[in-house]
Amino acid sequence: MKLLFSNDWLLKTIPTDPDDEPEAGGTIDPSVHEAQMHSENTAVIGERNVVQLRIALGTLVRQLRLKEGLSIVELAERADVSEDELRLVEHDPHYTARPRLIFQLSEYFQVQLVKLSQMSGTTHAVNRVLYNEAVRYAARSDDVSALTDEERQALDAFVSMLNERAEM
Amino acid sequence: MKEHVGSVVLLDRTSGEPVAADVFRELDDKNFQDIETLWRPMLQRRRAEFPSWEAAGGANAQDSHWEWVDKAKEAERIMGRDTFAVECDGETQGLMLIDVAYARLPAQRGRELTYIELLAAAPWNRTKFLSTPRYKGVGRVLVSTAISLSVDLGFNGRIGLHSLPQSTMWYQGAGFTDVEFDTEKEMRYFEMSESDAAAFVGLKRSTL
Amino acid sequence: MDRRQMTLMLSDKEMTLLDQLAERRGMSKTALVRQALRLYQSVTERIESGEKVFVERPSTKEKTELMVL
Repeated sequence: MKLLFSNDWLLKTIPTDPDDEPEAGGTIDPSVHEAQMHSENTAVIGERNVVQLRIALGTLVRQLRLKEGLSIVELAERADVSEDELRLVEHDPHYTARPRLIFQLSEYFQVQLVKLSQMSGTTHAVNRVLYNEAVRYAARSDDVSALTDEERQALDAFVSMLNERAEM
Repeated sequence: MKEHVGSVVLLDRTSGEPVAADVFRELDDKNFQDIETLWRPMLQRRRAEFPSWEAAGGANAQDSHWEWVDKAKEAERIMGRDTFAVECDGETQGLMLIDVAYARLPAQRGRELTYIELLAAAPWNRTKFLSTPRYKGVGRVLVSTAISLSVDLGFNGRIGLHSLPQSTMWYQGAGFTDVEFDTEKEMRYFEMSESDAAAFVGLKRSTL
Repeated sequence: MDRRQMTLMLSDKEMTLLDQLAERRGMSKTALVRQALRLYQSVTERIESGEKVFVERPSTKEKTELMVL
């Protein structure tokens, strides 16, 4: 193949381009790579562990929603996600949430995307600390419609753990 | 086999002077080494400073997870896939991964086009990444190379790509048509018609 | 990329088809053969790796499996 442009043309046109270089492609799901980035803290987990993480994710989403006093319909609208998907995430630990839903929820609830992604089970490489904390958190929480004081404290503690800037 | 496609120029962002660079087709071990030892550590360090993927867009650090090496190796054995590198100072200044896809613009719908699957400048050439980035022009060289390839393959200059959110202005300015928001990729899809491609590289359409 | 040349023996019917397809898709005959080869590689590799390739009719959603090899 031959290049159809000259260096004179480049010299004339490059200065007229926007200052920053363009980028194309890539996906919205950085979780796999993020997990690989810190492999020393990362464990590859099996299907049973993935289900436990998703139970924790469902509990987390439901409790964050209840804490704000929102119904599923209201949260779906505010976070711009589908109601059906939200229901599945809250109640079906065999459902794999799509990256977009996780992204929207992480933005809405201000929880680190990397960690929510790991909890959604899109990757089987998961941070050990996150896994242990998530399972413990889920075990402490009952599936009821209102949060007890104790549950609220457990929720707050878990969310602040999620947002720590520690190596995860 | 890595092939030298042509000699080009970039602009030194500090001095404004032209710098000689080269375009290569198919990456080699040197490019892989640059990706692993130069690109990746910078991208990861920068990415780690942001709480979310979206926030990382503000500093052009969203592509730390792209797996260039795997994709480039795969491209070597799959027809229609191609990789290109811009090199200067003995370092990889920009990369592009190409595939064949089908046009979506009504006037050329269904025709083959050169699809830019991934395109990125080295982290040190990005303005929001460093306060003193090195070279300007990597994106223009790569997009023009994609048009040249499209012509070589018999696609008459038709090219398409999915833009990262912070790059849409660049593509619009270059004459791409903003075709649609692609719900599957969750990115905007841009395409160049044959005549827009000819205009971009400064040629008459009939000469493509 | 190195380019090599070969002579292709085609029947009249095959040659006519090549001409027509190249015309319809707006490509040279060489470009068309190259794309046909690319598609054939992609379909073959998918089937060999255990995937199935279907053609779907949008109106009825009826699927026909594409058999190669």
